[in-house]
Amino acid sequence: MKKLLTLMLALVLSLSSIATYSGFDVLAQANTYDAGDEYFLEFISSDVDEEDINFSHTPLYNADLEVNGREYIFTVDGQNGYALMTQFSGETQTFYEIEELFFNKTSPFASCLGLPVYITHNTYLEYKDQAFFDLSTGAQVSDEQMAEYVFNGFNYFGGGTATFTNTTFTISYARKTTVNYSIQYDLPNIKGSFINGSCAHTAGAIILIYWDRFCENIIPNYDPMSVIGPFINYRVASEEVETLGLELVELMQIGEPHEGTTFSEFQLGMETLVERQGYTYTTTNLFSGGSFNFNNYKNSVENNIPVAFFLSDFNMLNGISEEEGLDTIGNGYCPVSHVTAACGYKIDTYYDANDSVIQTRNYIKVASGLNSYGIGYLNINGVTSISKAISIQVS
Amino acid sequence: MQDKELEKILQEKADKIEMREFSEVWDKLKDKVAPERKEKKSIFKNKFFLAFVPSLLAICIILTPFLFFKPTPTPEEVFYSDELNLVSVTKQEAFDGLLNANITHVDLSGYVFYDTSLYYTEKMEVKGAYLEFYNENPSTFIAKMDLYDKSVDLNLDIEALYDTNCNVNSANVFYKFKSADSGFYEYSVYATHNNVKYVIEYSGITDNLMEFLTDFFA
Repeated sequence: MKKLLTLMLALVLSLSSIATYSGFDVLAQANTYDAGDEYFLEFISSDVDEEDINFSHTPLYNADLEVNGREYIFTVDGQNGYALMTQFSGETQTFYEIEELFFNKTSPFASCLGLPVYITHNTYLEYKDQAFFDLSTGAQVSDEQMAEYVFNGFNYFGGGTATFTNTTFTISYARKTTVNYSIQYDLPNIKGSFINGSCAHTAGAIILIYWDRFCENIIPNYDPMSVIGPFINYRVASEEVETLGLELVELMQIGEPHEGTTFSEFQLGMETLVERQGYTYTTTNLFSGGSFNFNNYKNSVENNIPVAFFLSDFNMLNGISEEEGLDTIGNGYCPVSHVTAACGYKIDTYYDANDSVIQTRNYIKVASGLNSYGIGYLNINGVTSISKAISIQVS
Repeated sequence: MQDKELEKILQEKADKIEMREFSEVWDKLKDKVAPERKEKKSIFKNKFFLAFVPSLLAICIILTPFLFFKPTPTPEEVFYSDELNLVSVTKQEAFDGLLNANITHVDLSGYVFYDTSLYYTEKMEVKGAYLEFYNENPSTFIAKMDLYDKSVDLNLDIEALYDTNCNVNSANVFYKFKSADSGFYEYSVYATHNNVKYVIEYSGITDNLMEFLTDFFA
């Protein structure tokens, strides 16, 4: 008996040792998940079954060396991956956001020897020897650069405040095919914003005005369409539209306490307004495996469900100059974050003389919210960084 | 008369001349012959000099740069279109705003407007308008137009956006056919006329863009 008890105790101790191996915070099973873990699992469940995931997490830090998120390392079905999650406190609740999630990819903080610092998109720092260093270059980060990173944060606010840099790209081909699609009547071409840095509220208003066609009480006693002879258009310049926009500014907590809004605050604002008007707000993440899935997007808009894109930087299509066998593609590049509403796509497929595909170029048709572009195309074939893309349905 | 008699007469006349004392004559002549040296007053103590010359110098100092160096003109402030705020207004407010901002657009009185907004800077200066309008009886087109003051930089990629350039009644016009998929002929247009910039999205029942432009810039 004594030997059996000793053996059992040894077994328990061994299992505990395995559980604490490598120094990470190791989690037990489901009943010890906290709110952050639940958010992570809910997010990843769109790709995999929750029960198949093994994960652990370590803290991430802000510029003041306070915990502001987590780095998740996970395995599922033999695949390794990582996720970077941020957390911040809004006026009434704590928000969690998955900023990155990739399968079969090593975390950018894998080489970190100091404190891992994550304060803005696509920027991975460490704090050691009383200084901040860029993990991708090893270079020390200046105070001015740190201030810029802190200012940008994980907010979306810049689309109307930076100028565009025009660039061109050429492609030679023997044959070209084009496929176009858009939700009927596109989306309302609301441009600019009454409050600088609040592209999110413009994108939100565009999508809600679209749904007001089918859910009339979103904007009570308001017809979003105008009929002029044979022409049918969205009305965009009205007091009702401006009132809706300003309501969203308040509900999305735009400008409080930071510039623009975060993804979570956008969701909170939209959901609050929709539910207040008696409807259900449903969103679907269009990413899979950590990347934007164009087929998921096509499926959404072809079912007349508009999509909101959250961009870290982006290219707008200025136009395509077409000569025989040569396209010159003009783009306007904007280096700041932006939120835009999407309703369609354009797919250009280029073939060589052997009728083999040289390149397929996908463009997203958007109500950009920008004075300079209006209804236009987002060029996702290159430098555009899509942080998030969600379809938005009101019912 | 003999010389001797003349000599006698002159002698008698001379004897009658009274001779003044030398000192008396000298007193009258001495200033002319060797004028008395008066003590000269310094020009620097001259009040007129003290007042005039410094003033003259100051004026020269101020004016010299303008005479020799042309002042650099203050560059006109430029506004980027994406930085302007769009505010919904009534039709009357839109046209009053453009008028007060000295934005001299074409005559738009022949059209019917259904959406009107003004573009404002942060300082609430009007720099343009967004107008949606159509014609009547019958309605053969609708147009969605941004018009801007010359100080607004649109950063347009002209070559990429448009493929045709022409002049229409003193307006410089660029345009490109977009599509007829919707059942309407859709064009993108950019034009400049009388220091005003026009960006127009045009949809017509028939392919009659030039007819519209000729009337628009009439």
